[in-house]
Amino acid sequence: MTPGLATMARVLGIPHPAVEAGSADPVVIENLEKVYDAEHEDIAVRAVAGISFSVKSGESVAIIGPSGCGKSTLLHILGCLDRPTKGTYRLGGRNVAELDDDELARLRNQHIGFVFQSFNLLPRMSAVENVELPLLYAGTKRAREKAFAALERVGLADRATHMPNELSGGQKQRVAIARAIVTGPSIILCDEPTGALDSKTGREVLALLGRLHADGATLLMVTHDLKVARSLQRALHMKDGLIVADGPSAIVVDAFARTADEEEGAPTS
Amino acid sequence: MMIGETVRTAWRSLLANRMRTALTALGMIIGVGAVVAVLAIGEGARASVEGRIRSMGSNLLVIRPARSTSGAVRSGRAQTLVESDATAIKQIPGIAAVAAESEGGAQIRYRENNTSSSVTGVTPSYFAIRSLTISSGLGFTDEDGRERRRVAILGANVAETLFAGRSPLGERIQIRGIVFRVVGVLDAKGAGMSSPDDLVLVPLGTHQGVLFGGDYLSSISVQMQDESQAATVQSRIGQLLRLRHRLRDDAEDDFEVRSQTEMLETMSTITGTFTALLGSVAAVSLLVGGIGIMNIMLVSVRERTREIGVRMAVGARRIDVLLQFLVEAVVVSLFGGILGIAAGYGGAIAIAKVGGWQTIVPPYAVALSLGVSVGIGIVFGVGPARSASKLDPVEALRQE
Ligand SMILES: Nc1ncnc2c1ncn2[C@@H]1O[C@H](COP(=O)(O)OP(=O)(O)OP(=O)(O)O)[C@@H](O)[C@H]1O
Ligand SMILES: [Mg+2]
Repeated sequence: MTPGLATMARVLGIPHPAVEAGSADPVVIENLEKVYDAEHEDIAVRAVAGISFSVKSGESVAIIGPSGCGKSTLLHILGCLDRPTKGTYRLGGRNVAELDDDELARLRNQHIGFVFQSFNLLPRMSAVENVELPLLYAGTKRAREKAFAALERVGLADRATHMPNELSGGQKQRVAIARAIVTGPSIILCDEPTGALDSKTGREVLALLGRLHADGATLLMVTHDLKVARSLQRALHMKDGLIVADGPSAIVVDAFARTADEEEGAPTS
Repeated sequence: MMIGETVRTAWRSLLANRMRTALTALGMIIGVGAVVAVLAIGEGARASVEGRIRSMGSNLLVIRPARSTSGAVRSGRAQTLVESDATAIKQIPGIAAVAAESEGGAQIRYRENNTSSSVTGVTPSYFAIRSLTISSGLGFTDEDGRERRRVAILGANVAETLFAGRSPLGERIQIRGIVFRVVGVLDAKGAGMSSPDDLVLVPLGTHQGVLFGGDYLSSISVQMQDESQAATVQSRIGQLLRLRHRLRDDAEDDFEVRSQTEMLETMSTITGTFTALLGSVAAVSLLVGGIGIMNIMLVSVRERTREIGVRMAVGARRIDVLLQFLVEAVVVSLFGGILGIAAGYGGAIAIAKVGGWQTIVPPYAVALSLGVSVGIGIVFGVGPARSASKLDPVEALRQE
């Protein structure tokens, strides 16, 4: 634990879960826990070990921490792809634990845009069809038109009819981002969005996410790239399923870089 | 998601695995094709039997000796009818004509050609009652029977078998080793059960006196003036025969009088049973086709777990996933079903050509096949589709 960071955050007047958790915020998490194999004491893994924080509308938040500390697990819960073992998660004021599968599907469809490290485009569908997919599940009218518009926003209008295997990694990720934003979600969750890309295309993708954020999107991004983390407004430092620091990215990331240097082996880039 | 979109998606993923889809559909093609072909054979048999019975002439009643039963065992037909019964029946009002018939099988020979055939002894009225026409030569006269003349009229097939296209008129053939002169040939009536094409007709008197001996008849055909009198005439005949056969009040009839309608009913029951039997054998292959679909859907769900995860991540509900796979199963089986109907049609035509059976694909078989195909798709697709829809999004996404 680095309690100093939380204190620092408080001193600087930066929101910290222990200090305040505005119920109007799009994401509010309290004492969230995720235990894998909870029924077997000996092999149970507390991937998320009781964390609280909230995200304000329009904020951009980096989640950093060593491998296996529970970042992806947390993001999956935020994306309603997974359910927490304990604690509450409010998305847009609704307690997700009380929702049934269909309502969760609707949340994923309408309120959450999820961007995966490995793109997760459907291989047999063209770019525009991939982007259209959430709209089809939503039953939106003029889906094709809106999918084109989303592709235009990510600068791929000219690749609309290409199949995923005809696109570069960066282009694939931009298609995936277009798919994530096409329904106008209230939060965009990215799990190492540049993890599978070289640094140049990675920068393009990050620039795109930056533009979306500038346009008002709320962004949560798991990343190993500390430069990227620094470029966001706020950072959460996770360790062993806990948030050990939460504050302005510059401060949290620098502190993380120092501990990482001391411990060695953790990513330093 | 709109159903149209779902069907399109299903079709595309089926196209992505053409060979697999084709082989899966093949199971259905064979199953549906077999069922359609069997139903076509059944329907053809029914139609040909019906045609045969109808072609026997209208307003017809047929009297036969009763089936005698000793204990539970059927022991053939009793010999109870004689020619004088026929003569007596003719006096009943409402009757236009009466023919007496006596059947027996025999070897027929013309020179080195041999065939075995049913030889029926008939009275001259037989031809008119059974609507048989003579294509060449003459019919029988009353004298032919009275004087036991050794003359014969051949069915079209028998004539063809023995004479191979040459005119049999005036030729001498041997029936049971006895020489007969051919005086006529019947017009062909077409294939079918107990077709007159396969008969050899001789005068009744000759049949009883020269060929087989005995006075007994195998049947009496009665033509009524008007079909509406059938019930009255039938009961009059019954009374008359009971009287003539000196049956006591408590004795059962030793004959049976059956109308054409009753014969049609009996025959359609028989062909119906036969069709149902063959049909259920064919239906087993449909079951196999269905299992093939289930198998391929299980594989497909497993292979596409990640796709399912992605779809769920972008907002697919469980019902959307379920429908996607269910529709896919139904599309394969319906696709196979439609091709199967075509195959069944083809099979029916081939059977008619090669086997010489009449085959008719009944319209209900087409509707039934389509319905059954959809049903099989649903029944065998719902399991895999449900397992797909039950997947946990995060687990599904984790799959490589
Ligand atoms: N399905 C699972 N069953 C059991 N344990 C799991 C499962 N998924 C993750 N874990 C464990 O939970 C912990 C957190 O995993 P998580 O994937 O959230 O880590 P992460 O911070 O995303 O790591 P990385 O930076 O390497 O992606 C790890 O110890 C992992 O082994
Ligand atoms: Mg991870």
